[in-house]
Amino acid sequence: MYTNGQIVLLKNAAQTKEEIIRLLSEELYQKGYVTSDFATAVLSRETVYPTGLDINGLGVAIPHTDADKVQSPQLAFATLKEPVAFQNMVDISQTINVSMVFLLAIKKSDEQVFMLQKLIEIFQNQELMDQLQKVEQEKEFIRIIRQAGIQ
Amino acid sequence: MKKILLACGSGIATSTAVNAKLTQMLEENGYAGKFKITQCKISEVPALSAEHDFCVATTMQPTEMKCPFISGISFLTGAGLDATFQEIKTQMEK
Repeated sequence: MYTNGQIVLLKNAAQTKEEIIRLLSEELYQKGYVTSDFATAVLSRETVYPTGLDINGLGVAIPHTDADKVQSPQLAFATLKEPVAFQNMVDISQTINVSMVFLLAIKKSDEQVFMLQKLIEIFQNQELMDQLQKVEQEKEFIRIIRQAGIQ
Repeated sequence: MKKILLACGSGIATSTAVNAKLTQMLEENGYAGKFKITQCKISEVPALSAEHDFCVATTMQPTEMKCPFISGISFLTGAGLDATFQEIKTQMEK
């Protein structure tokens, strides 16, 4: 269900976090998963509570926002041609060069525990992350994510 | 009974994931029934910290904390999780 929208942008040429968040959010909006102000809400949250993570040297970001901007839960994914700058979740003064973005449209956290846990398991699986970064086809990306336990 | 405050920016995404993992680790280490986790937004931490034993969060440490603070970022990244859990165990034994 979290991947039904098949929202994946591979080797995207976006140059800023704003650009990639807006591109992914637009797809979420077009497919009815989020409200029209979702991207703006995600971006403004990012300035206060950034979501860049350094995972074994790989820059990953998990932008998200409050549930009232979400119609039904969904994940949107992007890999980037060139890394874009996000601030570090644990230290807003630090920049992380992010090459993978997992945009989370989350509705009710208690119903999404399993998905969030699986997502973190994927992050911590270096082999899987390497695979995801190299994927050339959207369907293949979704297949790997589903195989890792996120439906 | 240790009262643990678990926070992230929104109180819904990363703290939910950490909650599940932390609960599992505490139970596996013999602390079942000996802790209560309250999940919240990081902005609520200063006000709630006085009535909790310690706080685990995935964000920066807020100012005006009234209980010990432990960074829970390793629950997300995997790196340094053993050290983080050791800190948590130390707080559990206090």
